[in-house]
Amino acid sequence: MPLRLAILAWEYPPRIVGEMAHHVHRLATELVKGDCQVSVITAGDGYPRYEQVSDRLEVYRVPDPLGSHPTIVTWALSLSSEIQRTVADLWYGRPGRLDLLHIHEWQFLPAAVGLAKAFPLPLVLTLHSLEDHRTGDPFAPLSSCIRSLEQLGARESRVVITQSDWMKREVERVHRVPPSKVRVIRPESPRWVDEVADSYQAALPRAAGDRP
Amino acid sequence: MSELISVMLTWEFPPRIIGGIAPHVYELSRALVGLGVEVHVLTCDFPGAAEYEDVEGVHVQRVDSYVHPTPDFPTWIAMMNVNLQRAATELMASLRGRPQILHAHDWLVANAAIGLKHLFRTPLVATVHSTEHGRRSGIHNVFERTISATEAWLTQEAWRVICCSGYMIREVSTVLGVPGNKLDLIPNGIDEARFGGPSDQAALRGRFTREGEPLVLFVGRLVHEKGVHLLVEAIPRVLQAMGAKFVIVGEGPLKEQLSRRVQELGVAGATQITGFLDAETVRLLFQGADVCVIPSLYEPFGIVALEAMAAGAPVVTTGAGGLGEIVGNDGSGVIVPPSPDSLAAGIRAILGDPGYADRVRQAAHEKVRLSYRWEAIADSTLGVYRRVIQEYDAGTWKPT
Repeated sequence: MPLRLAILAWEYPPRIVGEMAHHVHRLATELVKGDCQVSVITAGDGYPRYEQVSDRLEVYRVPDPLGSHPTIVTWALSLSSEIQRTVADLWYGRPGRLDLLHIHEWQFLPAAVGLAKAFPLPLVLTLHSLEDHRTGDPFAPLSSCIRSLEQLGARESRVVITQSDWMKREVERVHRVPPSKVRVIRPESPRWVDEVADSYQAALPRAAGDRP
Repeated sequence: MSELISVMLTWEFPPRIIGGIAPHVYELSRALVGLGVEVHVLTCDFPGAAEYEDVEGVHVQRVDSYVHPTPDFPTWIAMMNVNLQRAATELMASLRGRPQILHAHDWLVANAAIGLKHLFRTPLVATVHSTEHGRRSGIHNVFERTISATEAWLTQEAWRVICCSGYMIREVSTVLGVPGNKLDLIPNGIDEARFGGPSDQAALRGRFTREGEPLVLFVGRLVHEKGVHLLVEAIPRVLQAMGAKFVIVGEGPLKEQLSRRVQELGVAGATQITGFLDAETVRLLFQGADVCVIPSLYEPFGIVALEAMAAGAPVVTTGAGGLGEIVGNDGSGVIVPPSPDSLAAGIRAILGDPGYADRVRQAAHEKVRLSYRWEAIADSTLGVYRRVIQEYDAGTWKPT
């Protein structure tokens, strides 16, 4: 049985805003070459809502339910409820066919935390960057909202992935995450995808017992 | 074990009282418990209030409401909803398998409620107490647009939508585009005991009126939509025929202008504009008034009419919005067109005929007792819950 996972990421091709879209696309494409089945859940107004890329890879694009937002936080958090709908429909529509959630960055963390708790599912979080480094003032009102969402996710995740030793230390320092929970996995490493798959196994404690 | 569980989400619950939702949920939740429903209320924290409290059988859980600086109100509401949803997720995971309804009050809890609905595939009922469009007389900026869109999203996601008046039903269907067959009309209630009760009328009479002088009361914000300016114009038209004292209770931007007009009309001796008064004095005024005038031009529900009727003050009103649904052409009040002449005629009709006033008082009291008791309102709400559960059980969305 392949490992069935949902990857939550706020950008994914063809909607490319920064580096992360390419990263997640490469990850999903590589994972399905191994023993994984992947549903990518991303934001996307105006793109196809559903795309079956192969029998192992599908993409759900979730539209913004409001269309008007004073801040990125209202955008991310209202979309989070729609993300919950999409993953819940997957969960209830195909019983037992989801083993794990892997989320990138903070935007849909409230969605992921709720999903992980309700079903329950283990949660893996990749932090590409931190609000503390992106903003000039981490305690400005909007940044502190984002910071507290990052913290919620860092605490509720079974495994946190960073891409450098420096970022691992920063995540531990900023969000007080125990070092044992943070794994450094470098995307330029030849064993990159295997290491990500290993982190999934580490996040599945119960499954480790009853699956060889 | 209860037949049914209601998980209510509200941003305010006593002692946190900001507007009308807190008293509404307080009364409704207790009355539902009285009907055998297991009710959980999840709400925002409040200084000094317990994190968990049993309020006459209602399980009240107060959640960290993210009391940190946020850039604007909708962003704070979004952050507060993250915490609200987390607490509700824990609760609903523990209630899984038992028939339950998720009941959201207004857009302020929409984010949390919509996610929870899908996480647990629990049917969602929404009460829309008012709309942003109605509160702001239109939609003018990004904040109001976001709030209005959230209201539309909530009503789309809800299995059924409850409004408190036919007027609100029409507003919700025109402004938010909710189909009529999804809307349920369940009025607000009134706790009669709060307005009945013992009262020391002698002190009140000494303070506001002279011996034998009838008291004509207005209670409300001093704004155009409440029509208080029409009442002021009606005062000399009443005084032509009989003596009376007009007591106008409330604050608002029209206060100065109204005081000036009272002087110009030469009725200052028979009129008192009091500003804000404490709740107990207002209760005594309702009980002692010979007429309560509600000259509103816009009114989503009109709770003031219920308060007057419960306290035994005959109501003379324009019947605007929800008012015309509370005070009908059934002798429970006097409905007149919104003009000074008509208001004066209505007031004179009550003051000039004590027998008529008594019949109106009786009919009003009967009506409040029959239709606006919280027990009756909770019963209608339970009817909506049962209908939703029945449709849910018969449908394919329910997880197998």
